[in-house]
Amino acid sequence: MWDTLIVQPFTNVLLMITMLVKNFGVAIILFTILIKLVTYPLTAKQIKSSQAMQELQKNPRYLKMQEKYKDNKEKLAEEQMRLYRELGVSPFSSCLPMLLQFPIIIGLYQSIMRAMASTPLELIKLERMIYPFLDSTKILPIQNRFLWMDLGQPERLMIAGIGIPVLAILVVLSTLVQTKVMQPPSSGGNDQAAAMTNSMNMTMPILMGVMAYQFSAGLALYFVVSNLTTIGQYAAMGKTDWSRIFPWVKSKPKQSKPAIVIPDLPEEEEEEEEPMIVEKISKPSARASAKRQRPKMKK
Amino acid sequence: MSKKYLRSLLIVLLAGLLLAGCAMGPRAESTPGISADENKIIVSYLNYVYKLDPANGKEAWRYPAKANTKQVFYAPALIDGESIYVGDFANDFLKINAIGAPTVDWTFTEAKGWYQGKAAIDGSLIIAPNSDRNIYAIDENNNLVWTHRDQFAYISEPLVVENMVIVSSQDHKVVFLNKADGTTIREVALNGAVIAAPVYDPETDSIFVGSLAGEFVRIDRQSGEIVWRYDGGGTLESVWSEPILVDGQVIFNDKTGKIISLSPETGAENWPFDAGGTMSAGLALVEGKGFVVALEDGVVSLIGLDRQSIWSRQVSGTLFDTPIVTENLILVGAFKGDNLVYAFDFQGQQVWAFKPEK
Repeated sequence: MWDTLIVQPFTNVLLMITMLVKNFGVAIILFTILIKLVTYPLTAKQIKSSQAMQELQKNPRYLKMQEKYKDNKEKLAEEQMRLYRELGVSPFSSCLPMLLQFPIIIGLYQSIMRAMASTPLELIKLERMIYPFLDSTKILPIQNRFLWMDLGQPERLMIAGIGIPVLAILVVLSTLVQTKVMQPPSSGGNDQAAAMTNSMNMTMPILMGVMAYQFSAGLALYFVVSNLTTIGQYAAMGKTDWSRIFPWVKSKPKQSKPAIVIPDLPEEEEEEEEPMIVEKISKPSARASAKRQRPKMKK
Repeated sequence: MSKKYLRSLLIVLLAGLLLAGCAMGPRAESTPGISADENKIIVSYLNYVYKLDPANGKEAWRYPAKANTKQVFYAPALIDGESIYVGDFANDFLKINAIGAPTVDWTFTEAKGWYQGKAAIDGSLIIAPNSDRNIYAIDENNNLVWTHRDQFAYISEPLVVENMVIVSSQDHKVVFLNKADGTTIREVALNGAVIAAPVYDPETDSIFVGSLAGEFVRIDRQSGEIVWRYDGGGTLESVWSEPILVDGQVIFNDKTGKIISLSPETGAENWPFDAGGTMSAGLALVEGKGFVVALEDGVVSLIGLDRQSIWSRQVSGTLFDTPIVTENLILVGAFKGDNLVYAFDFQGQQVWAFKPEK
């Protein structure tokens, strides 16, 4: 089922691209970019949802609410849920697009693995996966050579008799940049979360690098292209703070429209513990703004 | 250790597991490589080479004693008396002394790719195909005699006939090399990738081989001319395995399980026979009896040359490789089955099955 619905179509698209460009390395690059473009709406939604949550968590009202109910976890949770509902945001809304992307990412990975068939058994399996309208005679075998690499083998560039794992190094660097780019600005409030994020940010590039070092160059190439495309997508959305990666660069992420607007409540309403009035508006109307600025008449 | 570090560690471990789920396991998947002589059976699978006793299938030894995860063996070993030549996926080619506990006499380390095909031997010259697109010729003292380089990985067992090394190439051809120096004598183009090893017929001084393009050819060894080409009127599917020569017939099969007997001389069809299932493995000749058919679904049969089934057995696992026939046993390697190797006598009785102990 999984193979028929995901891996087989992906593999055939990859093979079709290979037939068109006559180079498996270029086909992996194009295919990865293509899949990233197709899943871009999901990525964008994920980024926006994540940004909305970050904005919410930095909002003074949210922080005040946290402070106010710090000794009443139940009430805090209740208030938080009410706020989420009223604003139309959900702490899980950034997870859903990510979950939807998972099968695609795993399918992409597996299709590249399948197409790089190195052993006779893998060739048999690949041949059976090719749709009848594609001429398997012309497709097989796939030329695994790309630049200095054999895409079916771990990559090393021999310089003066020393094998340098160029792709593994690129994987480490691009993963590092990607994690930095995707890292939300620190709210300064939660040391534990920050420690976990930092720990992940340090470990992930190393883990990916080790994998790229040990496994076929084709996969390492996919890792690099995937990372670069993700960075490109973040940059295109104006979410990239380059100064986090390159401290000498002064740039800050483009100030886009806030994902949610949380109007401040007047003090007395807050005191009375009335339900918080919030509006889910991307751009507050002039009338609403004026009304909010109008002083309240005391009786 | 504080709680926050424990949680960080847990997250990292989970991320590692997720990534491992994508990428771990053997870097490439393949089937057990089996070879045998009258005294021993050698099985290459995953991190070990096993020596089995043909009488009972018991493990005599395994190499290495302790698994090295980088060292993966799938290529069938070449047996030359008490010497065993086998390559691995760590790009090493080893000569192992099989007497007593296994000892490595030497290791050839110049290749940059995996050894997947069985090596060939001619006198003191060992010829080993490698995935780095080279064929390496090594002498018995581990000196490189020559290499021959091409465009695609070599994964088939070479054939040595007189002064020639003949090898199938995935690059849609059969390559004839000079045994002395590895230079190309000629290349014979076919329509598809050639995975099956070529077979030599001294009667006609010809080579027989099939390709993935649904063709089976006879190549004259001296001239390199394709004497005839058989495609079953366009019905023949890809041929993954080598043919057998018996009783003035050349018999082979395609992936659909269609078994064809041809006249080696003319290529005229004697008979077709449907094995009844998908079949990547080739036929194994049992002298005076017939040939063994191993279907992918685990059915092993002995078929007489009159095409009557003599016996049929079911084993666990998928069968991709041609069975090996010794003096009195039929050895069948299974992929992802309950056992790795099944041994049958010629009457179809299972003599033993081998499953490596952990």
